[in-house]
Amino acid sequence: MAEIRTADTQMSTAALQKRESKRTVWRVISYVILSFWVLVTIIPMYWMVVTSFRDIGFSATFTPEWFPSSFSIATYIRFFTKTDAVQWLINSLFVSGVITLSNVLFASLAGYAFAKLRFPGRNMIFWVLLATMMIPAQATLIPIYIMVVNVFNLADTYIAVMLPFLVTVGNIFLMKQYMSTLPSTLIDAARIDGCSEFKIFRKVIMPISKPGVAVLAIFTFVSTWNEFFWPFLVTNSSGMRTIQVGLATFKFAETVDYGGLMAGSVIAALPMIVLFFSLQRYFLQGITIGAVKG
Amino acid sequence: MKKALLTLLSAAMVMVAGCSSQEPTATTNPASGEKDVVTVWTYPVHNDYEPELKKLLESFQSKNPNIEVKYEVLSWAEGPKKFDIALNAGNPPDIYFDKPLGKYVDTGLLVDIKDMIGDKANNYEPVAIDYMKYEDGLYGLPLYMFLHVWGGNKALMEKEGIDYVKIQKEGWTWKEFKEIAQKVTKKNEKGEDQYGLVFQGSGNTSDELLNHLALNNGLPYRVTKDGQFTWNDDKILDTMKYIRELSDAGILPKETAAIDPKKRMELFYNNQAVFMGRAIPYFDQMMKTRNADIDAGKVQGQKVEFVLLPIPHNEGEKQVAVGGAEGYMLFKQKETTDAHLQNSLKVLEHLTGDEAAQASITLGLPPVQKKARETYQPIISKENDEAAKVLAGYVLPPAGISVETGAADDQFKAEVILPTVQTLLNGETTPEQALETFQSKGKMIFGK
Repeated sequence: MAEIRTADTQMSTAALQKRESKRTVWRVISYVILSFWVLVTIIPMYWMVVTSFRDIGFSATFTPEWFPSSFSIATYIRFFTKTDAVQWLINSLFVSGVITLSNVLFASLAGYAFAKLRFPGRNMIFWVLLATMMIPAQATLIPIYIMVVNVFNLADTYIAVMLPFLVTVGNIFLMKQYMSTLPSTLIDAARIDGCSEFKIFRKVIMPISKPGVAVLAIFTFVSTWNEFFWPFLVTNSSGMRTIQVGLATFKFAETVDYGGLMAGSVIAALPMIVLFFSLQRYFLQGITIGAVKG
Repeated sequence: MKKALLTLLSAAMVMVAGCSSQEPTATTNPASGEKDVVTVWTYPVHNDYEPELKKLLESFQSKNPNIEVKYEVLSWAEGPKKFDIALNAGNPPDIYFDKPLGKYVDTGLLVDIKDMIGDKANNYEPVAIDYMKYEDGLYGLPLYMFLHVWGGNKALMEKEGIDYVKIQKEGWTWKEFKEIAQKVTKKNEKGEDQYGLVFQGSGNTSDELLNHLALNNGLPYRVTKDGQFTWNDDKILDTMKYIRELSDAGILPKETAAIDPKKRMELFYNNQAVFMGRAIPYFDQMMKTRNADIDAGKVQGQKVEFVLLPIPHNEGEKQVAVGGAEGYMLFKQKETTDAHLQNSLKVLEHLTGDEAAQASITLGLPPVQKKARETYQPIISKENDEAAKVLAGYVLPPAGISVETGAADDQFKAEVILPTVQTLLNGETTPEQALETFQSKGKMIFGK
């Protein structure tokens, strides 16, 4: 009996070792693949930073220099002195900030209503809203342009840049999904204690929705910061441009001021890099938040 | 925290409210005594055009204090999309830089200025004026005439023993070009690929190579004056086969469909392209400036000298150069008043008048303004200036098609040619399949 047990133990140790070595092999393979992927992601950023410190003027050589032969901050000086870069950065910050705040407010309110309140036509309205997401942006571009520029006469204003994005259906959907996971018993208890619906939203729902709100805020800020075409379409003066639209002015028909463009790109990317590293946790949450069953 | 949030929100609302009360840009009523605001959308027609434009507008506003001009210099890549959206929304700028297209006339918003300008059209070269016409209407005034041909790297051509002066004078056939280009397609001294021909092939420019070669293969007009669509027979098939031959032989880079004008220039600057297209006389001046910047240590890279060359033609066919005129056009909006139109026209005339001749001079071509032409001194090299004059003689007159046919041709270019040529360049479509697409879509769009 004892011999059999020893044999069993020896077999299971061997199996465990085999399994462990298999795991090690897979781990090595995944690290190799991930390292390759990290390189693919980092190389363009590295090239951007290196080129931003090379003052190569308006005529770049085709071959990138991986190890810079010279170092210059002239590109940064040119970017800030020859353009309205500071104004573009302020515009981007302002536009992204207001759109983020507005989305947090309106998407949370709508998300709460769709997730927790019962009213006639709730599901139908929600599905109609979701259906609007199926319409390609290209199809709605001209009607929105007509409304903003022709009807409201808002061309070249902050409102024109922000109006179509003050609340998006995607964000309403995100908040509805998140708030559906919150316990309804808390709301019922608050109602019994005599709270109004708005007070419940403010005092009960919002405090426990912080992770969802953070995800919404981060993603909205980043996407608004990176938006190019709409601000380009509705702004006309240099002073109204956002940083992404401003960067496009470094391109000419036949040449590009690569040094200046890359210096501007580094400056434009910096807030996003800082934002990402300081709020990494929420970015990761954002990947799974929409997957929670409502 | 809550208070801070509320304060921020309120501040934002106040700022937004303050910013929304700006003056409308295009439809100000000059009769009310306010300054009439005229909007101009233009492009960087050369690298120093914006300072030139600013000067022009300063001189205009000193003479016309009641008119305020607001201008925007658009990027070549994104600008046309912005203009198309504004035009389709019925709210184009008052003045826009381009050439009159059928699709613009078709909207009814492009203004026929023939009767508005009286005899002022006589101040311009007649051929340039012809390019601003559609049917009986005159839809703008020219800023310059353009010449689109091919170019070569002088040092590389001399090294390879290519007699470029003879080519400039006598032209060259497709067969001759291919032989020369094949010979020079190899690894250069640095071990990099050296291509026989580098041509822009991405986005809106992807049709240019096919267009250049089709013109030189007995297809002078895609649509003839009587509305006949011509890109549907063996001639266009042979042209597309020739492009594939160049690509398969490695003369054209495999990634031509992704090469934009800037990338083409970089390859040329890096001595990786012996011949390039599309080329314009302005490149002579551009490269002289770049060479001087390299000498001064402002720019890193190798100095390159540029030679203007004709587009090769198929044997037995006539040599043709691509040319025309571009300038400013007058648009109206829904509520445009006559007074506003007249003010906009004043701006248009100033932007294309004698004072604006510098644009042509910088671009290396004689001005279109007759007065400025009399005193014109070319700034490009003598050999390129002479070549430009010879090549300008091969430019065809406008097709003289109707507005309706012009609009159909614009549609055919955007919806059929650009995507088809992209796939032809990257080898996804054979010339035969491309011809079938041209034939079937051509029938749908042109009806013949």
